[in-house]
This record gives sequence, C-alpha cells and structure tokens, in this order.
Amino acid sequence: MADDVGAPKTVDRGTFQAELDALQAREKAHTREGDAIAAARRRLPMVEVDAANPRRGAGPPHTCGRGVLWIAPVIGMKNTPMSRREWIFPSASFV
Amino acid sequence: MNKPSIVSLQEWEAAREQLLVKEKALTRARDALAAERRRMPWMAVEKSYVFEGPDGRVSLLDLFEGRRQLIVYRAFFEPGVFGWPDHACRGCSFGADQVGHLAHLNARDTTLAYASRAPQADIARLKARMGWEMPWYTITDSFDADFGVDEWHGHNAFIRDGERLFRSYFINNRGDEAMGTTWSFLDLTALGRQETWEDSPEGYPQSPPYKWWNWHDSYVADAAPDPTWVEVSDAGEAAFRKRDPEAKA
Repeated sequence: MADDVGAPKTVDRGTFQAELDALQAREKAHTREGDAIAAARRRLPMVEVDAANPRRGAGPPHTCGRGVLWIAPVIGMKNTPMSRREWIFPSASFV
Repeated sequence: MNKPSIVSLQEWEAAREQLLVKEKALTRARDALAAERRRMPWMAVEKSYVFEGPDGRVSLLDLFEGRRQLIVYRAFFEPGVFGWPDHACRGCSFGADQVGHLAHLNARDTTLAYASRAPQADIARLKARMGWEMPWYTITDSFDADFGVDEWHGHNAFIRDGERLFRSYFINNRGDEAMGTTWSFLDLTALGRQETWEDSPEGYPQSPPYKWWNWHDSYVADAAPDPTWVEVSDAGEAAFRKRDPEAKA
C-alpha cells in the first residue's frame, strides 16, 4: 500500500467493546437529534402551490397519486437543454 | 390531520433556513462521529472462520475479495425466521433493498457482504427472486456469536493488514436502518470516505472529493481521474461555492 496505515492500537475484545459502547452512546444521541429535527420538519409551515402549475419538459407525469412529492433538480447538466433539466422523481430525494 | 399553518413563500423560506442551521449541525456531528470511528482501536480477529460461498468453502479473508476493508451484514434467513423459506426477515429484506450499487464502495477498496445461516442453494434462490446482487455467504461456525449478531442483525466492519484481520467497528439497531448508501458504508469503515476534507489520522489514504467518482460500469482500478471530469466537477463546485459561500464539501 502506498499510504501509511498501521493498526492504530490493537486491543482485546473487552477493551474494544468498552470503546464501542462509549462511541455508540454518542451515536444514539445523534440518532435522537435526527429524530427531533425530523419532528420539527413535520411542523414546518407549508406553502400552497398551484396544482395546475405546468412543468417544463416531457418528463414523467406531474403528479404521482401519492401524498408527498419530492422534486430534485438535476445537477451538473450544464450542457443539457433547459427543457430536460427538471425531473420529477416518484420517490424521495434531496430538495 | 392537523395541518401546519399555510404561509407565504418568504415565511416558509425563513422557517426552513432556521431548521437548516440544525440540519447542518447534525451533518457536522455525523462527520465528527465518523472521524471518531477512524480513531477507534482495532480488535485482532484471532480465530479462523469458514463460510460457504457459491463456489464452496471460503475464509473471512476471502470475503474481502482482495480489497482492504470488509463490511459484513448479518441478515436473518434460515429455518425458524419469519418468511422462511420464501423470504428473508422483513427488516433484513428492507435493508437489502436499499443497498446502492456496490461499484462505488468497491472503488474505495471496500467490500460489502451479507451472511446468513441458510444454505447457499436457498440464498441463490432468494437473491434471484428479490433481485439482490451483493455477495452472500453461509455462516458455518461461531462467527455470528463472536461478532454480536447471533440473535439480532448488525454490520461489522473489518480491515486487513496483509493477512492479519481486524474488527474496526460494529453497529446494530437503528444504526442499521441508515445503511445503504455508499457514504453510509464508508463512514462506518476504519478509513472513511478517504477524501481530503476528512479529519483522519496521519498517513490515511485520501483523494479529493468528486474526482474519484465514476459511472458504476466505468471504474478502472488505480486509474487517475479523467481530466475532463476533473474540469467539469471543479467548475461545478466553484459555481456552487459562489452561490453558497457557506457550502463545504
């Protein structure tokens, strides 16, 4: 290997487990914080959008019959005509 | 359903910006946890383990497929598990469905494998039925008990130094539910995403973000990044930073 990764510190099972328990306690706190943020997201106000608002492009259907629709603009498509830059995904992605 | 208040776009943007501060902090905290994982001590694997694979008996070292790191997910698929013999456990199946294309993980010198107690013939049938393509082995010995996955699912991360094997991390419970993306798997490993922005110990392999990405059918081992892609990704990153000076890799 070109790099220099030695075993940082090799420990027995008991020591490893103790280190694991300590870090996992922090991971659990992080999970709870993520849950709290998701709860706050569910309480965000909403903006009404015109259901008949036409979208550019000949992509998939505009509505999917589901309760939630996510729209993700496609990045890195500098050379793509505007008409093809807007996609509507039938499931979740980043907004 | 009690709907939240309906507001103007401006008010909604303000509320979203406020929450975004917390979201960014959460992302940074996740990065910090991954950095801590990269500083975990390693546990030497002292015993030899034998698995059954599609081509017969293999060792834990074989599961690395020559790569430096290995993640083994213990999936429940065997007699006595709900769904047997048609299906694996529902939760494990849910997890298998959200595993991304493994070419990207493999390009970071990391292999993902699933392991269960079902015979290989049943595993082959299950993979074909469900459209799963990850390597999937049969546990034959105390591997599951020795690595905390005899009664409940979990991901064990391993790293090797030649033929010496080490356990570097373990997650289970709700840690497992977040797994599936290339990033989630790499963040679990001893070496991380192996990108220059990461806080890793001295000497760890790193290369710039974006540049190593490729289409899943186009990776070439040890190849230098495609110069045209480097140019395109640099331009994209510069444009993004101009728009959002706060943005970090």
